[in-house]
Amino acid sequence: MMANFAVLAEQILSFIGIYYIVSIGLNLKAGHMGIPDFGHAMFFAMGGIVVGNIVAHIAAAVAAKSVPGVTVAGVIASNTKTLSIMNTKFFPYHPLLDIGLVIFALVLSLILGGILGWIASLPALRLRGEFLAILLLTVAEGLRVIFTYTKSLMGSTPTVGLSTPALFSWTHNSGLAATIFTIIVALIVYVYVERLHNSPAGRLFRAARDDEDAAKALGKNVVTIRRDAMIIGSALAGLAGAVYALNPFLGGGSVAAVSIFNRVWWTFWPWALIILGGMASNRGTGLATIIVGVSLIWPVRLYSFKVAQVLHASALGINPDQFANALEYAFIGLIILIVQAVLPRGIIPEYPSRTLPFEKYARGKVLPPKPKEE
Amino acid sequence: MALQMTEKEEGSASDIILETRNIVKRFGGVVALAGVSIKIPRRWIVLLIGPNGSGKTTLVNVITGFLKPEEGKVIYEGRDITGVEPHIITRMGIVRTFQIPKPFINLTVLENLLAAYPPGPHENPYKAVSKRSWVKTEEEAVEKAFDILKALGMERAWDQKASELSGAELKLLEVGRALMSGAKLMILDEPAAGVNPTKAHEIFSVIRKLREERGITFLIIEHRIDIASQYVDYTYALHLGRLISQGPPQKVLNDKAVIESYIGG
Repeated sequence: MMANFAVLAEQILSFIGIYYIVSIGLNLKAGHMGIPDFGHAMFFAMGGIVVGNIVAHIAAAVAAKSVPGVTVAGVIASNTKTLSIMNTKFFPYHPLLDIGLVIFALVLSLILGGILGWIASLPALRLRGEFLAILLLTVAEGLRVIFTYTKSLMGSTPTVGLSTPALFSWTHNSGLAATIFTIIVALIVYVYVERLHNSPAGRLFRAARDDEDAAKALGKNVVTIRRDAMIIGSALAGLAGAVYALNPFLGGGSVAAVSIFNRVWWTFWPWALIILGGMASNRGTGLATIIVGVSLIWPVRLYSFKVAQVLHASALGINPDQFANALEYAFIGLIILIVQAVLPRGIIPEYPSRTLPFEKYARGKVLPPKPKEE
Repeated sequence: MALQMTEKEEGSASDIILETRNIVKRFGGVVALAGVSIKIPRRWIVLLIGPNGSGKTTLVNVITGFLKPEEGKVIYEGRDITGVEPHIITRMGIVRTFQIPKPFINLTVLENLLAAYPPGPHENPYKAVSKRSWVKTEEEAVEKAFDILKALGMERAWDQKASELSGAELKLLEVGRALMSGAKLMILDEPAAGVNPTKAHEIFSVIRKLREERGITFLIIEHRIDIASQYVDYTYALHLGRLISQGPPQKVLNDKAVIESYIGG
């Protein structure tokens, strides 16, 4: 019973951590900068590919020398077998290499996410509003299809994808270690985005979002400002993808195009979370992620299939899987509707960029000095 | 009547901050400006009037680089700036405000000013995590911002969101942002439009004060001539792309050509 509770807690914490990282990347683009990115999942997918494909290849190249049955070509050709050998006979005994690969995966996913974000920023500089939203959505879907059927990228079976290297197996409790790792990365990301928000650069994102013409008239280069927001936000999404693939509770030991490019999980849910938390509010997104992670995402994932069964979706000729997915869509819509009606600016509305202790300056400059004690 | 500054006027205005020489601007067959020459002496408040379609906004667009003239030159501080990119002209110190205020609506008053500080490496997002990369510039900016708020009489609203400000306060915020960005010559497009007379007088008093205390030069387009004329040093009147009168405000307002241009005589 205790063990079950611990596992459930770890799973929920992993969910909160991963959704915070992926949502806050979107928040930077959509909340701070006003770019309606409906293709967020494609940046997330870059991180999954780094772990499932690139890191696995590097590990195989090292392991091939000492572990029989492991070849570099085998990572794609006989993926399940090769990874299962490495996960039981190699990774548990090479903690230093594992840690190095984790760090490498994080750095490379940031870089690849950032590069794809930079490419995506090229249309983002010319298009606005729904035109841009639709373009990014279709590009992400197009990439998903291409990746799904490119064997060298995602393996031979589209829905199974690639098994992921168990880089926390050396701890003998992969689940707990991955959960702690996920939470630590999420906390570092929180500290990072708060520092960015409370800097002149973070303020400039919000200013250029509010009025592009005014920013231009003040001599600001709105093109590079939008580009930088796309790069940083997308890099964070790439980071989230790598963390997802490294955490057995999240990826379930494999990455497939259907999961890492999933627009409901990595585009629409993050949108719902930042709207719920408050656009451009790093703290609000955090609170929303915790609330939803504990109370909604998990039960919805766990029970939507059962609800579909109870409602006899199959008797109506509807595939229960699809029905379960549709229920999740409906929950997203419901959340957005309720929040828009009750808290249109979110749980914690956008707050100013506090670069310096302004009150101190205000007291010296404009507010009357504190009355002297007689 | 010779449309030249009198010798006496020229004498007191030896330091010309901005001059246009025979600006011609056509839109297809329409001649919007037919050879307009004005001089704006440093630290003067100059009013530009004229009925709708007389070419006021076109002249401002030519000065600020948004339009390129077919003929003529714009000289700013002794340099020919004709056809220079608008954002470069902004950085050189000519800043315009918009007829309809364009605040950063979700930012506070102080943030609006700080965001208007001249662009530089302190706004690099890739270095933002290191406070050292921006803290010095930011300290200067905050000091300057509070000084400006004080001059505008808006110091008590420093932490208010722009969305909560009145129309007159938004106009002042625009002026504040222009000051923040290092304006030497401010071009104000109808600063008193849509503001009640009391507030309009307040806005013009602030303009006078900024000229006295900070040495800012102003070029003001304004239709509410009755109010504006009490505060300005010099007036140019445009009609159909031509300068029809210039001089001290009372002289221009009583000029028969100006009155006729407004009533269509």
